[in-house]
Amino acid sequence: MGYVAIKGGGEAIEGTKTVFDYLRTRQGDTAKPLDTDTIEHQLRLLHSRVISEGGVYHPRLASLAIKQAQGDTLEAAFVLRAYRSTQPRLVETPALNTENMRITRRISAAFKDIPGGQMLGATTDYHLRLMRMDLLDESPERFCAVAKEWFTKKTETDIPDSVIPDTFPKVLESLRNEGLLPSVDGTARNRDPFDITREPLIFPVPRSAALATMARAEQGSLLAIAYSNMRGYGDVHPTVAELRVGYLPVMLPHPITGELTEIGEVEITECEVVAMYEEQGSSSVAGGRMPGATEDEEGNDKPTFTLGYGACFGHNEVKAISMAILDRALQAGMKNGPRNPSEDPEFVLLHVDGIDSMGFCTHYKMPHYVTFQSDMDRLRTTQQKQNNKEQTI
Amino acid sequence: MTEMKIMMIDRTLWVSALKALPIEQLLSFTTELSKDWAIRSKSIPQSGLGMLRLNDSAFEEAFYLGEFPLASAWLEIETSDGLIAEGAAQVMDDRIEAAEALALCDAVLSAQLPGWEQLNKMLDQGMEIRESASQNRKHMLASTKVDFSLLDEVAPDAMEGKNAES
Amino acid sequence: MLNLDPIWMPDAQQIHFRLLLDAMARPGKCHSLTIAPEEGPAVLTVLATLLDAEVLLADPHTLLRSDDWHMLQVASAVVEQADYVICDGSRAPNFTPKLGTLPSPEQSATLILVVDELGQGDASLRLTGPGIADTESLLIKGLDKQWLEMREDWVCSFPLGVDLILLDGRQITALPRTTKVEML
Repeated sequence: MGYVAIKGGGEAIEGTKTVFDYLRTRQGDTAKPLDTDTIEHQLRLLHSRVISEGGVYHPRLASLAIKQAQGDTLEAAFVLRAYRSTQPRLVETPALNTENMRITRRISAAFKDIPGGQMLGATTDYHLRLMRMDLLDESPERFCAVAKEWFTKKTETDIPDSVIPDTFPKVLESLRNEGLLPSVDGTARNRDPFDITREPLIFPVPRSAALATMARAEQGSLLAIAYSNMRGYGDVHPTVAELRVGYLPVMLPHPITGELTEIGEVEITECEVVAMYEEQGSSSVAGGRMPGATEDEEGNDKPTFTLGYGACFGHNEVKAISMAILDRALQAGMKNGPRNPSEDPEFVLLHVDGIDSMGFCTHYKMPHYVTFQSDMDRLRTTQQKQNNKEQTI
Repeated sequence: MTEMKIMMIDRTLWVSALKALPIEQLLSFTTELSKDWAIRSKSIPQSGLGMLRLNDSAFEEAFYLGEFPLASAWLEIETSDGLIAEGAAQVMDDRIEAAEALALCDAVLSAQLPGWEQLNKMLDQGMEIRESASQNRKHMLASTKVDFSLLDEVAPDAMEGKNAES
Repeated sequence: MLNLDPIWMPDAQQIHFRLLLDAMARPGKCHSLTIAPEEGPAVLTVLATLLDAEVLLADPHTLLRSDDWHMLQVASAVVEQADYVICDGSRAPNFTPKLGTLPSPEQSATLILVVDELGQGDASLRLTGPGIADTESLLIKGLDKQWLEMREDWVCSFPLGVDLILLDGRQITALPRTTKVEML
């Protein structure tokens, strides 16, 4: 078969840049260019989504990526990933603990009285989904008045630590103290995590690879697979033990003194789900221990809750909950073999990355003239053969 | 009040306190302060990424959450009076100048080089900015704190099952 | 506000990287280093170009000063695990560097040998292999013969092996694992 080599299109491609850029400005003379601070604050949750899928906590560049991609989250995350791939890796932090988070929202669906209390923070969970027509025609004055009102309503006095402390204990701790959770494998803390930015996923992969992959996964993909588990291709109703949003101080040892020094903070969302323990009998089938069974001192399996964990950059609650549900499902799948797609590490982890999946989808737009030519040749030959057969009959 | 002036916040907070100030303020201060000093790099000042390692709180297993921009610098300074000091800084920023300025401040504050008292005041300013940001977050929490016990008081025991989710 | 030795600047490192590529592509040809470090050993020029915080360096003959390590920001490792090893070529090797694995032959070491002089000397080598049209000859002063004998063992099962970079104070040359070396 002859090779259909093509060239050209250079000018057309140059032209697309101009046209793409032009469409941004079509609003007319009254239009003002979007500034990146506006994107970061007024499109806060879009920004959060891109910063988590981009996998690098760079608020200014995440805003720029959104602006440049004209709001396409996949494209924006792609730009951010491309940026990070050009940067050298300088350090790695010691393992940070989310107990040190400076909380902006913290709820539990498991207990009403959690130590430190529940604080809803900024959420639309309890709002009526009615159009706020007042935002349609918002004057700059009214916009500014919102912040002014907040600061005047806010009492002059500082809130003492006894009312709102700097950090809050984890809800899971109380469950753990009561012996309701699987025991913690102390060695896992010191094990070197799998680095998905340096190594390809070759299955089976450790749990740290699954967590890292899901932390920068595309929210919609993660939600879709987690939803399949919630709806019935999985068999449990997990309970959100804790969902917290806040700022985690990033610590690095001081180059001279070696003392841990705060170098900045990142906004993260974190979620732990607990689910009912599962039947003991099935654990012996695969030979391994079921998640949800922990050995007591006599070496007997004691039934406990099963656990799932989710965390990601930015304020992305649906993502963190989906991740926690899938973490729990994947643990079951890794130990006893997957019973449904959401428990299959290969199925889940290879299909949730936004840059991977959108890249594959987008590539179908590239010229496939050669492969398609060959498809047509094959089809014509087959049709010809069939015609010849019909004529001879 | 004079005693207060000598007090200095812990070195582990210097970067975050100074980072809270506008970067222009910090840069113009360090540039002016060091214009006659000889400065040598102990390691190459550079910018790149750091990887955030997080302990998952369910099984205390470490994993990589994602990366963040990082600039770092480590300097050796000789002032015009012949005083020698070393300072280093790593900061969540992609500007090498920011890390260099913070490393310079680290040297000035740790060796109490000329200018440290002024810098100490800047530390206090930075801490105030941090504190007010923290207070703002706390006000958001305080105004959205759920008072479940109030519901209990309205209908003790009888309401138990009904406040919780179905 | 800072004065950095040019060998740490991206422009010089790009020039030297190109030079290293050429050296690897044309085994045995000597290339002059254009920019020497203001202080410290000449090998710093090569190290500054190749290393960052993500690779491991071994320095069994202590050719670097502690200040150099600070600048390189590279992690140190024992010689058997290092990605890069710098050695004094006049001292015989007493270790086996990383040779890689069949699925990942790239996870092998690059050895950087400091010799007295390239282009003349007592060791005379005839080189053949990829990147050499016919044969190439290379004279080296201050290289212990055992290096070449050990190298024969290290590179005998391609694609496993090690790549050698040789340098004196002014020039560099390379002997990648694919080059056949005959001692005359």
